Amino acid sequence: MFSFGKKSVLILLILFILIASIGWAWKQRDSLPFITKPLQMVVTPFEYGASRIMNGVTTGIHIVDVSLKNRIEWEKLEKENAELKEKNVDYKELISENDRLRKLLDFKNSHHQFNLVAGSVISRDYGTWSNTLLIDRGSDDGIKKDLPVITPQGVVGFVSDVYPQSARVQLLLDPRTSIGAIVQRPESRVASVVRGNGNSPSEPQFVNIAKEADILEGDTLVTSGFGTIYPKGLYVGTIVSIHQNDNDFVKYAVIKPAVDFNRLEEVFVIVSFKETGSYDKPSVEPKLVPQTQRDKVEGIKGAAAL
Amino acid sequence: MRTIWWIITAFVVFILQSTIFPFLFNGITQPNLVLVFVILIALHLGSRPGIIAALVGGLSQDVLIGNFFGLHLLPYLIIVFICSSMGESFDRGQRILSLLVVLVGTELYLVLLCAVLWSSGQYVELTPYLVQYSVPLLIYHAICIWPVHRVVWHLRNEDTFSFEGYR
Repeated sequence: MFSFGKKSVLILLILFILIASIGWAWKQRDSLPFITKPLQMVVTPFEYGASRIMNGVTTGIHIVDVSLKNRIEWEKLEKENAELKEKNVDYKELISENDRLRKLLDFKNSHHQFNLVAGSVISRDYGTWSNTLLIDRGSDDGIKKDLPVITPQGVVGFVSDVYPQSARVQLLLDPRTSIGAIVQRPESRVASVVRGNGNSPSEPQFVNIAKEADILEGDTLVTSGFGTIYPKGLYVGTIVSIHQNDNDFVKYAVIKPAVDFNRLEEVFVIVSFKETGSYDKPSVEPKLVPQTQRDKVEGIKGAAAL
Repeated sequence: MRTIWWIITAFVVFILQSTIFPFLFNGITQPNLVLVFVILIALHLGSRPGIIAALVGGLSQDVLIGNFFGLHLLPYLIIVFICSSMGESFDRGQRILSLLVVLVGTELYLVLLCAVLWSSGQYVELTPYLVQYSVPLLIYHAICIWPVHRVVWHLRNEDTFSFEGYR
C-alpha cells in the first residue's frame, strides 16, 4: 500500500503549490500578458490545425456514418422499388388480362346463339407462307375440326387440326383459308370470298368480284354464312383498296382484317351455333356515298344508278 | 453426356421458334432459327448431323409448329446437301464465310419454299414473296449467326460420335 514519508509529503506540497500557481497565473492571465500571449501565439496554429483535422475527422466520420445509413436505406428503397416495379408490371398485366377477358365475357354474354369455348394462344407459325396458331383447347374440351374461331373483334380462322389438349387454328391470313363474305352495306350486299395472301400475309383479299360489282373502299365485310364453317354476320374486315385490271373480268379488294393478329392472346371457338336471328345484327342505315367516290369505282354507270 | 447437349439445344431452339419468337416479332416475319442451325450444322459438322438436324427441325416445323407437311423439310434437306458438300472444302474458322453461306442459304430456302408451294399446287408469286420476306429474314439471320455459330462450334467440340469426316 501507500506510505506517506517526508519525501512524498514534500512532492505533494510542491505539486499543490505548482497547481495553485498555475491556477493563479491563469486567473491573472490578463495581468500577465507577457506569459500567456506568447504561449497562445505558439499554440494557436497547432490548435487550429488540430481543430481542422478533428473537424475533418468528425465530418468524415459523420459522412461515413450517414453514407452507411443511406446505403442501407438506399438498398432497402431499391429493393422496395424493384418489388413495386414487379408489382406494377403484374398489376398492369392483370389489368390487361382482365380487360381482355372482360371483353371476351361481354361478347359471350351478348351472343347466346353461340356455344363458345375460350382458349389461349400457346404457339404461332408464321414467317414462311402458312399462318397458323396453336390454342390450349382440344378434343377433351369439345373442339372438333372445322369449327370457326373468333374474337370479339371478328373472325380469326378455323380449327384445322385437333389434338386431345390443343388445336391448330388456320388463320384468315393463311393463303389456304377462304371465307365466304358479304359487303355489309345494304345497297351493295356483294358476296364473294376472302382469301389469305401468301405474298403479303397482312393483306388478305376479297377476291373474284364481278367487275361491275358495287364495292367501295371502307366497306365492311361480314361472313356470308354461305359456307359450312362460319355463321352469318361475323365481322371479317374492311376494304382498304380495290384493284382491277382492264383485261380481267373480275376485280379484287385488299382488306384490313378486323382482328389484330399480332396481338392475339385469347380466342373463342364456336363449338355450335343456332341461326335464331337473335344476335346483335349491325344496325342498317342508308349510307350516302359521295357521287365522286362512286364514280371513281363504277364510272358513269354507278352515278346513273344513284 | 454429349447427346444431352444436342437434345437441350434442339429443345431450346424449338421453344424459341414456336413460342418465344412469335410473341417477340411483328406477326409477319420472324427469324428461322432452325434454318440457321441446319445450315451451320451441315456446314461445320457434315452431312449426317446436317440431315438429322434437317429431319428433326423440318418435321418439327411442319408438323408441330405449322401444318403444311414438307414446306420446311424438303428445302432443309436440299440445303443440307449443298452445305455439307461445300463444307468439306470450307474454312470453318472463318465466321464471315459462315455468315455469307447462311445469307445465301436463306435466299435459297425462300426460293425452294416457293418451289415446294408451286409443286403442291399453291399459288405464290416469287418476286413479291422474296421482297416481302428476304430483307427481314436476312437481317434476322445475320444477327442470329453469331450465337448460333458459337453453339454449333461448342457442339462440334463436345461431340465425338458420328462426325469423322470433318474432325
